[in-house]
Order: sequence, then C-alpha cells, then structure tokens
Amino acid sequence: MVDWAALLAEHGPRVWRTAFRILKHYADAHDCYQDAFLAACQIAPRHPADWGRILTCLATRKAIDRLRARARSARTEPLDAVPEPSTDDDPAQPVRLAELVDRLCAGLAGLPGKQAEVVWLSCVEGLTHGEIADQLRIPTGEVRVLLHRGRQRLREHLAPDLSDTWRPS
Amino acid sequence: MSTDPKPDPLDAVFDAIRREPVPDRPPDAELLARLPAGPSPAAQAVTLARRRMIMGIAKWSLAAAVLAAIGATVLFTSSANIALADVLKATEKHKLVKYKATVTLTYDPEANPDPETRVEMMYADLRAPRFRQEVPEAVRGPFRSSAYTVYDHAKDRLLCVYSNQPVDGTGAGEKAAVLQTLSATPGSQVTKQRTLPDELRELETHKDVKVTKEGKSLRYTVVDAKETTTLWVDTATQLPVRMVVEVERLCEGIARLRIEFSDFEWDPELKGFKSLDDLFSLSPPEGYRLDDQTKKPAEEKKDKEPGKGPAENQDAVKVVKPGAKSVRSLAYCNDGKRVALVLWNGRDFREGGSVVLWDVQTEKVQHTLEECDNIGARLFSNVTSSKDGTTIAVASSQLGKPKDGAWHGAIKVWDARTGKLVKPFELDGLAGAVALSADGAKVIGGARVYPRANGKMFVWDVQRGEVRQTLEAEGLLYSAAAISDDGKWIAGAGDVGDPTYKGKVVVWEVATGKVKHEWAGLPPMSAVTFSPDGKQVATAGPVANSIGFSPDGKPVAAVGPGAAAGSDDKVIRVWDMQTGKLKHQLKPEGGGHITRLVFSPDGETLATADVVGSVSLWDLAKEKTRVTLKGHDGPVWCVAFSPDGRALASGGDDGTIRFWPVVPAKQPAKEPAKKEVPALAKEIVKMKVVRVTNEKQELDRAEMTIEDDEKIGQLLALFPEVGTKKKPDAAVPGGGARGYGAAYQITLHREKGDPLYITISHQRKWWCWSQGTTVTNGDWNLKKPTEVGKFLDELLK
Repeated sequence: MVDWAALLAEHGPRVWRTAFRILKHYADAHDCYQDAFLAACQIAPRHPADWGRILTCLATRKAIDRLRARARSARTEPLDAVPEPSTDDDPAQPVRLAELVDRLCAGLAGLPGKQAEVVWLSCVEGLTHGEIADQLRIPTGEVRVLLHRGRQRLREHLAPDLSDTWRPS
Repeated sequence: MSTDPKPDPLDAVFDAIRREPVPDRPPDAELLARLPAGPSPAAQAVTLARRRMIMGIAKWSLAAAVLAAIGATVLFTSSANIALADVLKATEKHKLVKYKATVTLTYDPEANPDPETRVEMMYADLRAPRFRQEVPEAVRGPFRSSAYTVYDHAKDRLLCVYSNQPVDGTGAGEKAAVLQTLSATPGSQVTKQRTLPDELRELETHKDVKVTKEGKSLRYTVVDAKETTTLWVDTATQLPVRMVVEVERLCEGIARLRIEFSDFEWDPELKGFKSLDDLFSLSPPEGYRLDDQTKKPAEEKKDKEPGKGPAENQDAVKVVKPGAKSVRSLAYCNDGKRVALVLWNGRDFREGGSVVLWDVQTEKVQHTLEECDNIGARLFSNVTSSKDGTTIAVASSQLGKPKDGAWHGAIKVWDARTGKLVKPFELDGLAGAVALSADGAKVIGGARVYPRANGKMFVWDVQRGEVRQTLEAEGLLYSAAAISDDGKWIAGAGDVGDPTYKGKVVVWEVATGKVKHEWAGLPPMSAVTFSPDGKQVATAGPVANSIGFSPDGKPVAAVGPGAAAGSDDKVIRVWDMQTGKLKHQLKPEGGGHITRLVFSPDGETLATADVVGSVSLWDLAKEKTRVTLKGHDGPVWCVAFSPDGRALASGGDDGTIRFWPVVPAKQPAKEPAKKEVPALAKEIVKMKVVRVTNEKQELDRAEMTIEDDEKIGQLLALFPEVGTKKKPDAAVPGGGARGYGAAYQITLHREKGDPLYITISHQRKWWCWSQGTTVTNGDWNLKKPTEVGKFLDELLK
C-alpha cells in the first residue's frame, strides 16, 4: 500500500511535465497523467526511491501510445475535401526551433513504440542507459541500439530543416 | 556508435523541448479519489497526522491527539523502562486532564516569513469520550473574539460557543452558540472512532523508538518519514509531561507544522465549574443565543408536507446538498452545466471552506479549486462567472500575521472547463468585490482594507495578467462590484467604514475611467448588479455577507454597519443609468435584509435573496413581488439565474442549493435572433456538418444535413467573416493551414455557385474555402471554441 497523496505531491509535477510535453494537449495530458498513476497501483517498487523513474517511464509510455494512436487515426481517416497543406513556405524564412519541436514530436509518433520511449527517456528525461534498461526490462545493449536507430530516424524526419552544415553520416 | 565531435542539432531540439513552458497541472483531488485508499503501515503515522491537520487539528482532533499522547506512552513504554500497564494504571487514577496545545505553522519564507502560532487549552475527560477546547481571547481582524467548544462523543453532540466584539466598540457584537450533531460535522469522522485501543493499534507499527533519559523524564522519539513525534514521560509519576509532533512539508506553502502538548495538569482544580458535567455541559452560558442545529432536519421534513405554506409559493424542483454547512456564493458556468460554489464548513468562515466546481447533472463536485481548514485563516467570499460561462473568479483572502491582523486578498481567475487556475491577482486588504466581464477577458476586484481604505477598484487583463485600469472612489470599502454586459460600465458598492459606515455606490465609464454616477449617503451596500441591457443598476444592503454572519439578520458591526447607519433600511434601489436618478424602490414586506440580487437574462425580473430564507422575484414595472420562493431554512446568501433563464439557483446557510423553475415574465422573443442572420443565410439552401474527431482528438465521426434556416443563421453568426469580402490572413498559406487535420467540416450549399466549405482544425482554427482556395478566415484563433463546438455537437445529436 502506498501513500498516494505524498507520491502525487512529490512526482506529480514531473509526470505532468512529461505527459504535457509529449502530447501538448491539456485534456489528453491530464488523462495520461492519471493513467500513469493508476497504472502505478499495480507496481511494488523494490525501493521507494525508484518511484520517480517508474512514474516517468509510465507517463512516457502512456503518452507515446496516445500520440501514436492519434497519428494512426489521422492517417486512416480520409479527410475528404480538406485542403492539402501547402509545404512551400518562403524558403528564405529560417525554420524556427519551435516548429522543429512540433515536428520532432510528430516524428516520435512515427517511430516504433519502444524506440520512441527510449529516445524520450534518454534525450529529454535524462535517464541513463542502465536505468532505462532496468525499467523496460531489456538489456543495456538493446537500449543503445534502440536509441541509435530512433535518433537516426528522427534526424531523417527533420533532415531538410536541420542545420545544413551537419548531415548524418 | 560513433561519437560525433560536432554538437548534434537534434540535441538542440531536445533542449528546446525541455525548456518549453508547461501549464500548471490540474488538481489531484479527482485522481486521488480513484487511487486505492489506505496508506502503508509505514506511512500511517504521517497520514494520521495529515488527516488531523487537514481536518483541523485545533478544532476537531486535539482530543484524538491527547489520546494519541496517552496511547503513545503506552506503546513506547512497551519497549522501554516503564511498562504499558503501569502507564495505563497511572492515567486511570485520574478523572480529568488539562493541557496546553500550541500549534505553530511555519510557512515558506517567500510566502510568509513569520510563523503563525495558536494556543488552546484542552480538557479531556479520562472516563468518558468528551473534551473541551478553549481558545483564549484575542484580537482577530476587527474583532476581539473568544470561543470554546465541547465535544461529547457519547451524546454525539458538539457545542461551539463564541463571542465576537468589535475592537473599536462601534455597533453590537455577537454572542452565540451552535449545537450540532457531532457525527454529521465535517472532520468528526476522524475523531469519532478514535479511541485508545485504536490509537494503540495505529502506533504499534512503530519499531524504531529511540529512548533517552532527560533529567527526571524519559524521552521517546519516533521518526517516520516527514513526521517526528517526541514524548516525555515522568519516570516518577509515569505520566506524560510533554509531547511534540513535527511535520515537515505538510503541504505546499507550509514548511513545517509543530504541535506541542504541554503543561499537563492531572485532575486540575475546576475554577468556575461545579462539576465535570458542568465543564462539559452542552448548554451555552447565559446571554448567548443558541442555534440548535440538531433538530433542523426534522423541521425541514415538516415544511415539505403538502398543503402547507401560502399558495403563491412554489416548490423547488431540486434540493441538493453539496456537503458543506453553508453555501455562500454560487455562479453558473459551462453553459449552465456546472455551478461554481463557495462553501463554508460552518456559518463562520473561520471553520474553513472550499471553492468547488459542481456538476448540476451528476450532483457531484468535479473540481475542488481551493480549500482551507480552520488553521489557514482564509476566507472565500464570493464567486462569479463570466456571462459566456468559460471563466470564474473567486475573491479569496488570507489573514496574515497574527499581530497586524491584516488581510491579504486575491482575486483568482479559473478556467471553468478545466478547473485550472488562470491567474491570481493580489489585493491589499480583504478581497470583497469581484466581477468578470461577459467574455471573461477582464476581471475587476476591490478590497475592504483593514484598517484603512484606499478605494481602488482594479481592472485586470486576465490573459496578460496585468492591471489595465485603476478606478478610484476615495475611502470606499468594496463589498460588491459589477460589469455591465456590454463592458461599458463598472459599478462598485460598499460603505465608507468607520465611523459612519455610510453606503456608497459608484459607477465608472470604462472608456474614460471617469465616475459617471455616485450615490452616497445610503445604508451600507452589499449587492450591486446591472440589468442585461445596461440601462439600470440595482443595489441593496446592508448585510455583512463577506465576513462574519448574523443569522437573525442583524448585520455584523465593523464590517456591516452599526445601528447608526440605518440598518433597518431593507430597500432595493434601482437606478437609471442615463439620468442617474432613482427609478424604483422595492420594499420587501416582512422580509429580511437583501443579501444578493440578480436580473433575469431578459431583464424583466429582479431576483433577490434575503437573510430570513426567502428568494423573491420582483416585477420591476409594478414594484411588487411576483412570487416568493420559500424553502431555505436560514439566510439565503446567493441566487443566480441559469443561462437560459428558466431556472433559478439559490444557496444558503442550510447547506442546500435549491433550483426553482422560473416562468419568464414574457415569452422570450425569438425575433431578435433572426434579425442577426447574415445576408448569406438566404443564399444557403442546406448545410452539411461533419464531425471527424472530438475534443480529445479521438475518432468520433458524425454527420448531419440541416435545412433549418434558423440553425443555418445561428451557425453563420458564429463565423461572421464568412460571406464578407474579408481577405484571408497572410498566415493562411495557399488553400489552408499546414499540418492541421480537420475536427469539423461544414459544407454550405448555395443556390448558385460552388459550395463553401468551413474547416475547423483540432487547434480550433478555422478557414473558409471554395474551389481549393481559401476565401476568408476569421480570427485565426476562434474566440469561443467551446461555444462553436457545443453548437455543432448539438446539431449532430
């Protein structure tokens, strides 16, 4: 049994940040935030200090699942008569970082779930490879591979907009 | 994996993600309710302490705490020098224990550098579950107050006796007592079942008790997470002499809570009491007016018997209890689906309260926006909503340092849909008046400053979070404020305070910031409202509706007026905005003072609530009551019309909200709506509305073809730019917006020419297009997304 009020007070802000940053939608993030805590009911950590990581991982997984579901439904639903978005903006205009952020999140939705999770946990949440391996119950080597592949694909996704001076080899 | 020496631009993007601001998370109350209850044994003590604190340690649980003290002794000694049975025996020799409880709250230094302390004397009967708690006389705000409470668990009764006398001696004070059923009192659940064995069992989970010898006593210490409990037991008498409970970071803003029980006196001499029964008596002393609330439920049933009461009375359609002692303020929001409530745990704000969003259909609290117990010394006075129902604002105040007794007020603006705090705005003094503009973009607030008034009424821009305008009326202490629906006028009402307490109402013109009308020399005003057309303003008073209370209808001195200010004036005044002259004077017959008044949406009817329990609907033209709604037991503090004007909600000291059916004075005219139909509507033969995804962006497809002219007109009214020659914004590249999927798609079939399409994206942006190019778009961000969404969903049903 767990003192949920204390856990919420301690880890709530971080879990919420994770959910909101991935989904950028208040109601969705709220659902996801609640889901993460509700899912945590099933878990008995070996050590209370693990809660932060456990909850972050749960929130990341829930949010990415939702992000992917959102992308799927947008693809399969024929939006008849919706005008094609034009892509030929003024090429002289430099692509703003904020836009890259949006596109990166869209790119995350296109990655396999586990890859996206590993990328987010490592690059945004700052978990170590060992911690991720522990949470996802996979070998550390696999974490490295997933991270490398995930980043590679994100780079390709953003390639035209990422700095011209640097290209992935 | 190769390590690239150059910085990876991808990391720059991740960095940007980490730096992105994130809005505040929603309140956890709802989630907490869904999570499994019951703490782990290890966390139990913390939770016990927290429950005590939250429920209000001083008022409700000191009794439990002294049991804990004794229980703790017993427990601790089981592993120490003094045996369990010995301490039990030692306490059983006595009949009564008296001790001092000192509660100290240390806030976060940036919030409040000075700790707050309160001291109470406790008496506990060691043979029966009854307690007496005495609060020493002290100056609190404008009052010199003292109180004591007797808890008798065997008889299931609670008697609270208190006295409030104005410090400056003006006007009458109050001496009153309230008798309640203990088990029906909030917070009593904690103490009700807590007996010695319970406390024992709860505390038996402690394994790590440190014992040290300190002079003649033994010191026992238990450290459990955030809570440290220390107990001193006299080795000679084997009785507890002191106990300290310290909780770190009790909740946000409170760095530390410390409760000390000391000065134990076993079987003290009773001064002024003949016997123990006298000490724990459930009848108030002479000279105190008793309000016996234990009998009320039975009376209420009697009232409901058919055939009783005057014929003109109507029955409320629905009577609900949102679970607090008193409903102090109420405002409809979210298109009438919810009401925002200010609830008090007692008839006095000092017993704590909350601000909640309450669902009218499910009759449940959806969001708790703010709450406080009786430690916090916070006062929620009024809640108001914007006419579009999207935003609510609450006047909330905190009593600062105990010495200066000053109030620190705030106007807090909340999103009514999400229950999320948009912005708090600080006020110097007790936040008395609050009002929102019809669109929720502006909020105004004025303070009752103690002890000196500055008469400033602030107009804030909600989104930008800054003061937009400062309006002034010298020396006015605000009790109520209003903004006209068209946003052109702002009214502030109140009184000028000590010594005359004369009431004043001021109306400013927003455009110029100048005073348009000023009506002075009135009784103190406690309510003000504009008619929907902005041509009239209605005022009433005096009732101290933001602080203190007086169930017999007499306003409380120092905040309301003294008798000198003509407190017998119960007249409702309606002023003409154009001429500034008094247009109507409505005199309630036999009713009490008016607490609140509000115009019906059609402006024909004025609804008022009073302190004797009635709600009246006035026919303004005839200056007579159309109907008097009776049902509330005790003062009615708030009244509001539902947005459609068909229902009236009222709330009061009996803890109920009553919904009354309202028959409009005239049948609502539908003509005006049609006048607004744009010219384009005539061209359109039918429209097709398609929903692709819902609010949550889940696939939720529905479609409907509509030929009703009125509906088409209503839809076009939401998109005023459609059909005009307004050019699309430069921000709409080509035929639409990049990257946005459609949430709704509307096809308008015209008599001639190609159909027009309106696409609304997930982001609630919209554009109108035809033949693949954008024809026009509106405000790039829809001003009222929910209104549009709701309207469309309604069509699709």
